[in-house]
Amino acid sequence: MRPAVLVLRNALGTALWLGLALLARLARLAGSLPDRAIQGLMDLWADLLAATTWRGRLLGLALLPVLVTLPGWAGPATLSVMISALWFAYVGQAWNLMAGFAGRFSLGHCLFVGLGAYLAAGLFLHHGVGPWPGLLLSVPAAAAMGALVGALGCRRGLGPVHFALITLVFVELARLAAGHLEWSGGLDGLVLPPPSQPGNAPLALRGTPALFYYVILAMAGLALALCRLLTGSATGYRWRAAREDPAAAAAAGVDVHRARISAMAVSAALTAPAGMFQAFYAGALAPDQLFSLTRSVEILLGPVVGGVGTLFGPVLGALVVSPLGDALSDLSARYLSSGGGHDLSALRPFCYGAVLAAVALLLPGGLWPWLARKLRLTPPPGAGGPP
Amino acid sequence: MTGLLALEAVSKSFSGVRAVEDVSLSVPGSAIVAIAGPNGAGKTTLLDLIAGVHRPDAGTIRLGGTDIAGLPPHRACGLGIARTFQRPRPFPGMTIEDNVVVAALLREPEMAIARRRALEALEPLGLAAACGLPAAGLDMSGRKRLDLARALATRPRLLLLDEPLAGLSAVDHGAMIDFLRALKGRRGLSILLTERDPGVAALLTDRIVLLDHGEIVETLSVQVPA
Repeated sequence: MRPAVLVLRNALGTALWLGLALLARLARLAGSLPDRAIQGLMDLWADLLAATTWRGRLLGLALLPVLVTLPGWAGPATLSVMISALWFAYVGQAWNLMAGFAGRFSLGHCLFVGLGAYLAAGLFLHHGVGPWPGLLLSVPAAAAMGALVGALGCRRGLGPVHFALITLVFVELARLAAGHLEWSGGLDGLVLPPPSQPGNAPLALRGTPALFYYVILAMAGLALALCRLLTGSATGYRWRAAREDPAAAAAAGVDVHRARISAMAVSAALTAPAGMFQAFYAGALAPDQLFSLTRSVEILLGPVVGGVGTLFGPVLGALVVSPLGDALSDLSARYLSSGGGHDLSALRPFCYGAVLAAVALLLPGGLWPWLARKLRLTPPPGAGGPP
Repeated sequence: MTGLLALEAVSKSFSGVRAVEDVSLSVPGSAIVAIAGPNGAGKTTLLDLIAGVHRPDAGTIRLGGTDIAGLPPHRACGLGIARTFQRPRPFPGMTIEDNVVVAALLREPEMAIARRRALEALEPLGLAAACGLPAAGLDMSGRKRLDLARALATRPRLLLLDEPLAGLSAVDHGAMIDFLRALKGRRGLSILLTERDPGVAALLTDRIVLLDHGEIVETLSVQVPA
């Protein structure tokens, strides 16, 4: 058999095997779910107390009512900026699982956003399946796709650069496929019809921006909790060991290949709901806009600026970068409409680049570890607690 | 040849250079065997072959009767082979405790128990008090001890130690020898270690294999000084 065929067969086999193992795990998990949920929440609470100083707790307490009441007092522009910031916080969290904890930078996470978006919109338009039930298909599909990309990109002998390139290849394949298939609406993409009746319908995910704000706020909060549980689990320990030193991890009994594949599958699965949200919030999707390197870079900008491999970094990074980007777009649009002679639309990517360079040079660990240290929000190392 | 570990006519070369040539040796249960020889004699390659980092070109490697030649390192570890590195390789971005928890999770899926096992492994090596600190801050002696604690936390039958005494100060050197001697009494644990100086190796064991240019020159049986 030709090597390419062999590689593909191995990858497919691994993905299939992983899927089956995951299903078995889930079935076993479902039995003990209530117990585990309570235990998990208690662990999370204990973690939160151990990981913060009283200053950090106070800041958190002060922020919570602001976030919860925001749609009540903020204008539509602020609300839209916050929705996009929280969306990037959510996706950044998912991306960070692979990049920050398992140590492989994906340039292809727009693939899983796109997959989630297309499946949600397609199922709704063609089969009348609502957004939430649609997740039952799109999340496993994204996990399988993630496992496949991971199995191919993390093979023995391949480095981080190969992985990043392979994720890019898959994005390009998805862009071509979405542009050619009738189910996905070809190059025009899919457009969801405006809601038939006014008012908020959380189950159908149609309604005012305030509804979308609360949905994405809840999703971001859940993702944060889930990531904390994952990184504190045995699986999370193996991910981090594989990131730190693959050879030493293998010597300590960690199957590095399997750890990376599982990280990619979980990261992809967690990313898919963000696509579903985007499809229903924006109401339209097109292949060129969804499957692009720019999109992937926007996804990783938040965690990289905030702090790769930290829990709060992606949230902080997204809250800084995303409003900045929106403000710049707004600025260039206003300048153009006021009769300005130059097209300033390149301002946004340019400033992204500048911010990235500044963080890489000045705060290589990211904004969050620096801020937490400066404001003493977390205890110093040695006093215990997670990263 | 019988024993826990048995190598039979094992050879390995890297792009034409013979690193290990026709080596046969055995490690009995609950014993320490030392491989002594100068730099470049093939000591580390021999450990790498047993730990699964490389596959031998020829020969068999048996652990308790099963052929393990070419098994990947994590599988070899699962079968009970743990190792340390000549230059210790802690996970620098993780705490000292978490470094060892990763290894303990191999045998104990429950996080709370794995954590306890990790502390039990760190305690006798004098690292338990500092367990919340990042491993990156450790000095050479600390790194060597952490490497050892991590290896022991996988509950090995066979412990491979790559120059455990090299690069240590006189005090740490003595402490490490005491610790390794105490390990010898542990039931069901065999140790295969490398050391440049046969005289130093003789402090730990009476079974010393002299290796040079990838070949066994001599197998010594010496009197262990008290």
